[in-house]
Amino acid sequence: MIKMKNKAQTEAIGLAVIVILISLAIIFALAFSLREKPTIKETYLKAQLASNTLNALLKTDTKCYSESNEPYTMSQLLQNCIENRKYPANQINCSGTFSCDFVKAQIGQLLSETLAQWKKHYALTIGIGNKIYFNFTNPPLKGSRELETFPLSTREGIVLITLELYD
Amino acid sequence: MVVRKSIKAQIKVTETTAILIIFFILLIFGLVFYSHFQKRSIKAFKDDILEKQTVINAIKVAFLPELACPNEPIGTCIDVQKMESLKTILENKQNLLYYGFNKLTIKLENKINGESTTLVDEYRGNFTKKSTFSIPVLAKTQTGKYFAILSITQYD
Repeated sequence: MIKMKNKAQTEAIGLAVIVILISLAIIFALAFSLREKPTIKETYLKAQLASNTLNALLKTDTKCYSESNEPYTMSQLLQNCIENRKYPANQINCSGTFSCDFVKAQIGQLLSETLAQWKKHYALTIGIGNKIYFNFTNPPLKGSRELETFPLSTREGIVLITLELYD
Repeated sequence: MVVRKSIKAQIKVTETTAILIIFFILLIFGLVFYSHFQKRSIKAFKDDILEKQTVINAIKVAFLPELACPNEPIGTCIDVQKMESLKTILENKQNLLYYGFNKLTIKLENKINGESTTLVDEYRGNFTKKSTFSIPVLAKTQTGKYFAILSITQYD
């Protein structure tokens, strides 16, 4: 009688173990299948967005004009700003705003109207080595990263403009 | 003896019926769950096709040699004057089909001076879903090159 009871208990434990294992397998399978895969749009955007944004940002003409009424490009203003950072009087005057302030406001506005509006997390840094002149961020800066760097030649040295895009 | 056997048989019949009822309830649950899952996967598949079409059209527009700017890498700059000319060509439905543009709008929005140019506006009435793809490019105009957004909206 006791032997039979023991056998029944062992069988019950065995069944319980099988049920637990099957449940775990189902939970894992569901967790993997329900995990969101990146769409084709996200994959393509990630690859193109950083380079296109930096390229357009640096080559764009601005609403700041020279004496001959030619528009300055963003990289020209950036170059002027970095070269004359210590001497604001030497900076290009954009209708009453110095080039550094103009560039900061313009880049900040363009990034907030595009990347920030599309809910992209980014960090744009402009500097030489550890010396950072400008820094624009939209935190949190977590997840996988796409990085694009453009060099800009100035009298102070090669300025690196780096745009990091996060998921 | 006969009564006892009859009761036993009745219990057996009830037991079998109960098992069958539970089995069918479980089967119905399974079918409902499966059909919901299938519906969701069909919807996801349709969304995926729409997104794919949007991306393909965006790449097509950004890399069209007809719209490329001189001295700029292809895919990074759009010539607004060329865009205006292409717009006239695309007013002919036959040409639109030749480019493979259907049920979509293609817009270039200049972020510096606020001007916007529409290349194609093929949105006609009702749609069940739309997918928009925007990418920054340079827009070359007669006055200069400006930071702009190329937006493609594909309708289903």
